[in-house]
Amino acid sequence: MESSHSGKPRLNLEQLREMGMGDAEFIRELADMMVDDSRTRLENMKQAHQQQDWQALGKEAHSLKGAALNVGAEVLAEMCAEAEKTARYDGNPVSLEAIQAIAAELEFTASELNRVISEMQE
Amino acid sequence: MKVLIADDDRFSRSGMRKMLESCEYKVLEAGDGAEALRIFIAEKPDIVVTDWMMPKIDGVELVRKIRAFDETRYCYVVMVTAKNRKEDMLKSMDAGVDDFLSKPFHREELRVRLRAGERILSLHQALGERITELEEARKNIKTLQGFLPICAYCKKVRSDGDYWQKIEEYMSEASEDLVLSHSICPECYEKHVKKMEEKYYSNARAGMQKEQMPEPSG
Repeated sequence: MESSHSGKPRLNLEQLREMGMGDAEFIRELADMMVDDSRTRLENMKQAHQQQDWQALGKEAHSLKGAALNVGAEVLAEMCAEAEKTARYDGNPVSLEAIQAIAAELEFTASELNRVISEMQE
Repeated sequence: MKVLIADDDRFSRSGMRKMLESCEYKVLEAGDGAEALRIFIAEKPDIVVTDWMMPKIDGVELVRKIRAFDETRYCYVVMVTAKNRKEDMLKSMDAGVDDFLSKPFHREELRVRLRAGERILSLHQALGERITELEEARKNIKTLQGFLPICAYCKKVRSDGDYWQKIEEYMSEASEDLVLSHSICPECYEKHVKKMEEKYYSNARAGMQKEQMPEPSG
């Protein structure tokens, strides 16, 4: 499963399996946590965008990047890293389109996680 | 061994807890820097694994406060972070971080890094115990220093108060815990005591023989 984004896999489940130590129930629990928390962080990013608070947006992008890396969502992580760099280190505005793209990638990650973990649990 | 995990990300905390418990660590959790500091003070964990970016107090500030809190008991600190810029690493090392682990972390890497931390803590503990022993020993030793005149004939020494006294008395007064007990070295025993003893026993034997001789009759 590859994306056009740097040719990276959109979901590398090795990391999640590693953290879950092969326990499918626990992996499900971790994945649900990641998705819930990431949606909250995305809402915070949108709010920071409205307020043009680029530092706050950068911090949320940083946290979302960490969460994405935890489940092996490498494309999502890379998109967040770009937003973090733009907002936090370069002090530039992040476009709404970039945030929408992150939102779409997060939803893709959530549905893929759900599908793959359901297969694991069967 | 107690490990405190400080991370505002539930996912990371849960994953790390499972890994650490499988390695038989006792795990404590904090969701922000202020809570981590509160737990650190109350529970005194041996190792802290902290995230960098956290609400209230960030990881670097948390480490500074940990280092300032208790200098006598060393706590090993690992910073787990998605930050990988050199200046960030230098800043956190300057604050007192011992080691880094980049996110996402690998179970085996976390395990070996914590084992390295345990070795450092053992060395710190052994060193602390040795220092305590040396301090105890130092308390029991009162050194005599300086120039001390001693009589060439009677061997008395002149104390600070311009008073001549026997060397054993002087040393006992100069050291709180030193007790000198009189004895005789083998050389002096040969030279002085043995002859006296031989003479004493020889006289004693002669006296006994005299007592046992029968009275002359008659």
